[in-house]
Amino acid sequence: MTASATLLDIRGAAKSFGGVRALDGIDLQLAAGEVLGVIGPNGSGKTTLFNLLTGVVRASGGTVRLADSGANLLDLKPWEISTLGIARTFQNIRLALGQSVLQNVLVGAYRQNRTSWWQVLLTPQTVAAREAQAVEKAMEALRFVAPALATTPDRIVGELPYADRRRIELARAVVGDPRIMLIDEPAAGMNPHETSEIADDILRIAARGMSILVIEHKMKFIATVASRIAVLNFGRKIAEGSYEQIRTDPNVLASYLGRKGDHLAAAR
Amino acid sequence: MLRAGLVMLSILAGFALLALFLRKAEGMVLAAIVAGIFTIVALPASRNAAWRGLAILQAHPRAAVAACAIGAVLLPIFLHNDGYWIHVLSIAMIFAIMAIGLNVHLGEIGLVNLGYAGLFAVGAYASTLLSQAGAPFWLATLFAMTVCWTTGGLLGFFSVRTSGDYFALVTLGFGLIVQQLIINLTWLTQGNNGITNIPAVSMLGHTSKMPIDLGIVRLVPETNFFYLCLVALCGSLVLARHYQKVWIGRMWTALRQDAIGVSCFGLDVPRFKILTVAFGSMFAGLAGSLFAHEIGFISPDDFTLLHSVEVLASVILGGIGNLFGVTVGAIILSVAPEKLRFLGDYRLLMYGAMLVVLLIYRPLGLLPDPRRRFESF
Repeated sequence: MTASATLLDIRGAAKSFGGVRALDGIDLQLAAGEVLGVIGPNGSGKTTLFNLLTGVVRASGGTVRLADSGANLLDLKPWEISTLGIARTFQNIRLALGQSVLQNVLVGAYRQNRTSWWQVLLTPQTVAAREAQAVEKAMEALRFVAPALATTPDRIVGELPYADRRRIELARAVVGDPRIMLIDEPAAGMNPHETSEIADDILRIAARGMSILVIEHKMKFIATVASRIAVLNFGRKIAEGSYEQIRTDPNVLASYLGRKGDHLAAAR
Repeated sequence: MLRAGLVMLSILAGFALLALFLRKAEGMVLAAIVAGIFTIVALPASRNAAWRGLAILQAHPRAAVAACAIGAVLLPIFLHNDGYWIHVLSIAMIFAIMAIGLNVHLGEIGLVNLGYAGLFAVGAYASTLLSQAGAPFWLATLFAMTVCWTTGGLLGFFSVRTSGDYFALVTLGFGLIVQQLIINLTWLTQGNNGITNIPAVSMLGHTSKMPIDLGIVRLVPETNFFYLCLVALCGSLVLARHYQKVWIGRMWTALRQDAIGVSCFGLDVPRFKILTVAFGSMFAGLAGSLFAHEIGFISPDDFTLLHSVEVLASVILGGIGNLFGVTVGAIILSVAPEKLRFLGDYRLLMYGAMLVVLLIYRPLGLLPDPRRRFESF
């Protein structure tokens, strides 16, 4: 382990869908301030891991603890986990398409700026002040992640290209000042130029002091952003280490390229 | 400035024409007017002109709203003090308040509520019982709203795990349960006989049974409720709009489009859904209280599944999610059956056909909600 303290400690995280073991006991530690890449073939359990960590999917076993909190994250609801400072993006973008860019980013600022239903009715000034604060934070996050979009915050998301939607998702995750960000395939479907832009965005977010877990298939991208990489296959962690280490790891090569003679075995 | 004046004048003229239409258009004249409206919608040139007109209206929102308010206040005079039509419009406004409430369920968070008449009934009976015990109208109304808020909260609590078709079924059951309870709890509701002699609304010595004497004109007693309903409708619109504009409205839209997405950003989805269902149900309390006191008689027949469906239809026809749209939709659907009386037995057939044709040509309603452009409903 590196010298810096472990922020997120995952032990034996498991999830079965009927007979399918999507996650078969994963151990993973995320250090404060690091960018940890998670790679693996399709169906290896990467997104399931994120869904477990954010409470979207109920775990079958294991524990996940934050450095300063005793609770097992796997027992909490998504909104409770969010309160602990964990934000995420989604592989299949989840935005309100009919809403403006700003409105979507504001969803991420909900935690700090919410008011009660009574306050909305009885103290509209307080509520308006909170809303103004939220808008300021959202605009700041937009300028930070997507300066080009910050000039047109009223554009409707449904009219924007795919790469911009990805950036809006990033901004929505950043605006709540999380400690940990889970970023699921940020460069999927992007051209090489956009991919390198997104890589820069993620490095800038990391430079703010956020710890990041990032799933991605593009190796060049992962090599650029991640300081350490974990490789999953069939719900298990098969390798962990620097890009150079996992690039030559025989298990990793086998899972991506197949073992020598496998196709002959399959043909028989 | 000149344009704003023209906008106001044309809206006022619109109200006068509406009054003329309500009172005079019958038989062939009515058919000709409806055919004319359909022609305008069908011909591209006239449709574009209509859109340009609407755009001018939208460019002067304050003038438009002010003119609408003045027009609505003057409507009883435009209607030549015709008690029948003033009464019909009051009921239409009560339906509009229900449509605004149901729109919170259906339009904001996408829950199809087939039992809204059940909530309406709870409001009407709660208000009536308190009113008969001697409470003033405003207190009975507040009580009805509180009871409906609580009932809606309970309905939300028991149905929060469901959505889509399943929520519709739960609410369908709720509507039927309420109706059966009203029929069978005779000690409280007098069952199928209904409750008669609901006291008139009185304020500072003026009761809703007295005409309004303005010196120049003497407005018929029905006008009392017309203005009461108008105030309640405006209040409902302002309230619903107020909640739409803050974080609650933003989370409504985000939740409707993606519950998992918002839950990962700290929104306690079940709790928020329950509070939203309760909030939308509160409007049924207001509508129920107005309805009971205006008619002076309520029975289980006033709160059937058909009434739930009628409110649902006005929301869908007017434009799901658009407050102004659902108000217009509810008023059209309440007035249309009255205007179609000349058709005799074919009245409901025409009513249904009108709905079908409208929804074929305007699937998102008469005045669609711009937030829904990228949704498929």
